[in-house]
Amino acid sequence: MKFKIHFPVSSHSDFASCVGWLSGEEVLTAGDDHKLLIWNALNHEVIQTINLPEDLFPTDLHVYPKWSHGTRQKSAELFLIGSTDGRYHIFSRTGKLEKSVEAHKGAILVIKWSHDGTALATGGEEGQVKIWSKSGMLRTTLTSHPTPVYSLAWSPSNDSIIYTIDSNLEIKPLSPKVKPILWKAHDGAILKVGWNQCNNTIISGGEDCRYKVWDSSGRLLFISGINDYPITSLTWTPNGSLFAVGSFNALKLCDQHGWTYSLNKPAIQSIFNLCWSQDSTQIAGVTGNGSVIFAHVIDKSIDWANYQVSCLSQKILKFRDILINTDEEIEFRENITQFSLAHGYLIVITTNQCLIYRPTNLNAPYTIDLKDSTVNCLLQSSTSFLLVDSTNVYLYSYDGRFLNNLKWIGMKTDFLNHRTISISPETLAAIDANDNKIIHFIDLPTGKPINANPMIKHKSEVMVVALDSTGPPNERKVAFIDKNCDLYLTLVRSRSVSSQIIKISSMIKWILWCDTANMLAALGENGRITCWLYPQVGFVDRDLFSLAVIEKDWSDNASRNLQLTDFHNNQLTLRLSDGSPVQYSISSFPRILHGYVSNGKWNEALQLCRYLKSSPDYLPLWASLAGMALNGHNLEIAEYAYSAIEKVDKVLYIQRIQKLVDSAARNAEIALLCGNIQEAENILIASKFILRAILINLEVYNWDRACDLRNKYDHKERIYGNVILFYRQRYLERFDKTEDNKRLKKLANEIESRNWEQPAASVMAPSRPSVD
Amino acid sequence: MSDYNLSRLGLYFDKDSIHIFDPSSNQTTTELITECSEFIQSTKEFKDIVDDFILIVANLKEKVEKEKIKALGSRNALESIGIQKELHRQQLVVLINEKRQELERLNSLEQSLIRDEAEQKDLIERLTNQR
Repeated sequence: MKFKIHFPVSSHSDFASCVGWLSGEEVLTAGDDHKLLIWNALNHEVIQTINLPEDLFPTDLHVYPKWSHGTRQKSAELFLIGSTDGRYHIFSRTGKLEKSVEAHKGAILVIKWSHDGTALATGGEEGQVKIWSKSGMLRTTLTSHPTPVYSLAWSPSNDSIIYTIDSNLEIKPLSPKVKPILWKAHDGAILKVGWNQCNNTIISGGEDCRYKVWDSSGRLLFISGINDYPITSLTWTPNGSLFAVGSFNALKLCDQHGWTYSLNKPAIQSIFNLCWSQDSTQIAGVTGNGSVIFAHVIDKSIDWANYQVSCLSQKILKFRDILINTDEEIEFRENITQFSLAHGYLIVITTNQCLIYRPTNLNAPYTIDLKDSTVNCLLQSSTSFLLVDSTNVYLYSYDGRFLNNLKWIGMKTDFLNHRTISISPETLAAIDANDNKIIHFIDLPTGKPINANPMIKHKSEVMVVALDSTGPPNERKVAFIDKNCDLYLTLVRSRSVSSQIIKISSMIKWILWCDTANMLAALGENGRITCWLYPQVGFVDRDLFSLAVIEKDWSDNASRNLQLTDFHNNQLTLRLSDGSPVQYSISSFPRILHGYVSNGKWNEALQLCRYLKSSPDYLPLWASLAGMALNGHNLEIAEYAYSAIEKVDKVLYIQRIQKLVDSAARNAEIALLCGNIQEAENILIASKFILRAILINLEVYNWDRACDLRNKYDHKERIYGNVILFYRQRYLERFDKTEDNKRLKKLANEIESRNWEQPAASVMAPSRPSVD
Repeated sequence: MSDYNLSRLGLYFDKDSIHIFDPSSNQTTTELITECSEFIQSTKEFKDIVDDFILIVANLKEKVEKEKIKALGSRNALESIGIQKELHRQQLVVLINEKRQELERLNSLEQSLIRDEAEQKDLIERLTNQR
């Protein structure tokens, strides 16, 4: 990936420091020559010149951040300019000066709208940060320091501000109750700081000629080498995948993790400000000698299976099939803003269209006309894809048919990205934008929340959510990472009422589901990659969960900032901290096993596992098979598998279950084996094995539930009560306790005659194999 | 009347004309006239020569001036070529570094693929031997 830079003919006649995008095609710049220039971003020519008052020396400019239907929201206040006399000026779209506000002593050095456009923040030379309402009323003076505030940025949720104090950075929440975070970030004065809304990551650059990447709590993620000159500007792309760094005669393109894609050395002097277009493909910058530069990103490439797509210029894509070594170029009439290749389909978003290609037929794409040219996010599943524009979330099928316009509570389109939203063929999971603890589940065919399980509320903020894309819908699982980097797994469409959330690992940075088999890969903080071969086993037999795992440790080779980028078939693609892509294959047998089991070929699956006796993946595979067999109620296979992994207790229990004739009793026992007491009880009650249901509760010492069941179903006889009392008595004797449960005392009083023989006989009832 | 009388009157005759000067003076005068005209002639010639010379010098001056500017220009160009080359060199260094990084990335990718291939071959071998 690199920049292609254009140098326009005209320029400012003096120092320029202000730049912003008015729309996808118009760029606004201002300089000390008291001129506002509006540029056409397509041909890089000035289309309008607005003269500013002679005494106004602009220092910073920010355009209203809210977008709708491809243009900025119709708002009277469109852009802000801070000036050297300590005032800021609100301009309308036409360039008319609407209002000037006296704000700081000395110059205003930085001015920023909040992301939601309801407030603005200014930083002044005298060291104060002030928050203003949209109409220019002072809300608060956030801080006051003796050193100038060179730069500031709003947090993604608009509840705090990061700003510079010489060589330190401070994150200061707007509410006075929360403690600020202050740390020394650079060796020299910090000149620029940025905070991305999508990935919640901070970048900073300063006079020590370095730039650094931080997480939202001030932990260092990346530190650059020393550059030739101080870093005068740096800025995130709106989608958070890249950032650009400007310095003297230099323009760098960096990955979100800090490593450099490319460096250009144009002879333009220091770049004092940079601004990305909303679609994250173009950038405009202003420099010390008043010249303006435009650049767009080319050479972006995506690999999937044996295909590789790369963007040669703004309008040309190259499609390469590595297997037969053919290149094909696709030319578009409009600029390409995004493209995505997954699940066997190539989707290209241009300014006004969305084109869907099959790799096998690149000549006849399906075409959709976009209602809104800003596509924030594009997500693919195996049957459909999701298009998020500035106001709506659309679902389309791969033949270009519009399927649904999705809506849910707490949906904010600018919050949606690959972390906060995930789709599978029939389900969508999304983190609530207002309350990040909540994950919503949407049924895609209807576009409504799933009835049985519309949402889950976790105990802390959820950072990343991922749905599996294979397997039957009722086994649809969602994996999510919370704020503490713990990884959890839960069923989306579980049959049992109580959907359990299981914690499967901690210290996890990133997760990926395999696109062809039900496997989950997770990348830990310490560079450890864990691949769960059959995550469903967590809901079948938790003991197997830690067995059906393949692990790989990358801590030996520069694993800091390791990233997990792709999981296709059995191939994991990783990125090392210097940006090198690295392939790592896990064994291909788990995928084959998944294939056999999903087609019901149990014997082949068993043969495969037996065949791999000497392989190192022997144990995980058998454990997976055990889980699969139990999940598929195939007891015979489960027995073999459990014996292979030497779980004797399970084998014995399974053998006992196999002796049962009644299918309901069998299912109940299997549910018990899986640890689903609730489900087992439900099955038993539904098939009228009330005594057995009571016994289950007695065995887990759930006395109250046993009494409930007795009260509900014990009409004629007193057997159930007697059984309960018999067990209670044994329990009390064993633990040397006296009766303290009021309900049981009452029950004991009700039943005067304590006949121990009768319950002893009744527990030998045919519906259950044994008592203890 | 005789010549004597005429000469007393100040009139002299030669072969075909009358003069008021005596013949010797007349001779000198004539000689003077010729000398004068010769002098004027040579002065003129001298002036022409000087004019020519001035013209040539002026031309030369112009040429010299031109050459001087040229020399100045080329000297500047030479100097700026140094700077340009330096800039170019820097750009090339940047490019080389970029390519080197790219190479390193590709190398590590290749290594991982080689490792992968070896593992797969190993597996295939193991499977074929088992059979």
